[in-house]
Amino acid sequence: MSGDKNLYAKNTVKENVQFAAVLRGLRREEIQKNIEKYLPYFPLYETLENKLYEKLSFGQKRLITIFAAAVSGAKIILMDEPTEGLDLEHKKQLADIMAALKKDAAVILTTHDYEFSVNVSDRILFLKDGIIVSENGKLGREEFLKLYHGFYEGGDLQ
Amino acid sequence: MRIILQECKMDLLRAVRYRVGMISDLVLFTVLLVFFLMSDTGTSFGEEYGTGDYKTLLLLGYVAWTLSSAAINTVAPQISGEVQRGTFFLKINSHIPMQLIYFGDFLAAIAIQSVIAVICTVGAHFIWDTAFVVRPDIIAALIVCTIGMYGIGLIIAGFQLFFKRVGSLVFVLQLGLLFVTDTLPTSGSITRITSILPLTRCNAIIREAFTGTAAAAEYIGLLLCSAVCFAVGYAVFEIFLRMAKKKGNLLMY
Repeated sequence: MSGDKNLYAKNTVKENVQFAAVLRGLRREEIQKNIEKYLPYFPLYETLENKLYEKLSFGQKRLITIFAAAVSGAKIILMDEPTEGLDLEHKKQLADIMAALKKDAAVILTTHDYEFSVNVSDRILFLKDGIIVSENGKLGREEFLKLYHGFYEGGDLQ
Repeated sequence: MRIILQECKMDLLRAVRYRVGMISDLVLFTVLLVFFLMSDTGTSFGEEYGTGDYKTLLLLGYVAWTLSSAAINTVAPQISGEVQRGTFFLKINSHIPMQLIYFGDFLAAIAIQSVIAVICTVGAHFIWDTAFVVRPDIIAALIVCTIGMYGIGLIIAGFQLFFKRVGSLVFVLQLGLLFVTDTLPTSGSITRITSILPLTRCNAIIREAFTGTAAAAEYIGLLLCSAVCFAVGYAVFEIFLRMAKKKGNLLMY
């Protein structure tokens, strides 16, 4: 998923979420089961389900897109800069959602938001010129920054 | 089947919510029909099919053309919009072939176009006293024809995927079909060539069915012609989709 354009503007949130799941071959009962499963992490779904997707805020669109991916039972979820443009509240919700999604799917995200990646990631890879230059488990803030400066800001790891 | 119906439902809901597209189609197709009927286009159909009711024969061909236009113009514009919006990538990850998913859009487009055709037919009946023609053989011919024309739409959509801009090609094709498929009176030498298109065969069959002269062999011919067009369209779309994926064209719209 990237940006806020992955669903249909003139369809409601509910129609979009159901359609994404139907495309992956889920039946009505399975879709309902998945909605109930992820609903605690996406409380805004219930208030937005009958709204047109185009009427949502940027942050709401981002979260609903992730909800659609979760409900459709995706086993691998790719996120490109998921925190870009999100306010603090939506960012916190996204971190909670990521924690829930990790139980059922491999979530791969690319981000420049180091605080977010440190908070939510179990493995952190650093890339330089398209090559993985460092592969790590969970990192603390200090460790992350040390590696970051070493690779990208003239440090001795370059 | 569920995916096709869900896609059809989603597309119908969008069409109803946008409204302007439906209304502009209704105005365009009504104005064109009024122009043809007022200018007495199609008098030669009366002589060709041995009836004085040439306006109904013209109307029958016109309805077949509007449905065929909708069939060939469904997938390409939809793909163009979807790749740019990002919704295309939802569909490309589905386990169902894209050609079948977009069949749902085709069904929605045909449903909307059928409503427009009914409005045009009712209007023409009250103003020009054309006949109401609701016959299963004619409806069956129209259905088979539009499925074949959907195959041609898939060929255009394949080009759309790979070459990205085919908007004017679709327009020229839609307009061209009006003049070469006997929708408007067309010379026999041209219709002999264009009989490879389901629309040309359909125009002849529905007019013959109306005057009671249609032969069973012609229905079989239309069925085969539509099946070939659908199969070729399906294959060409698949080839272009694979080429577009391989070259990375889908990421550079």
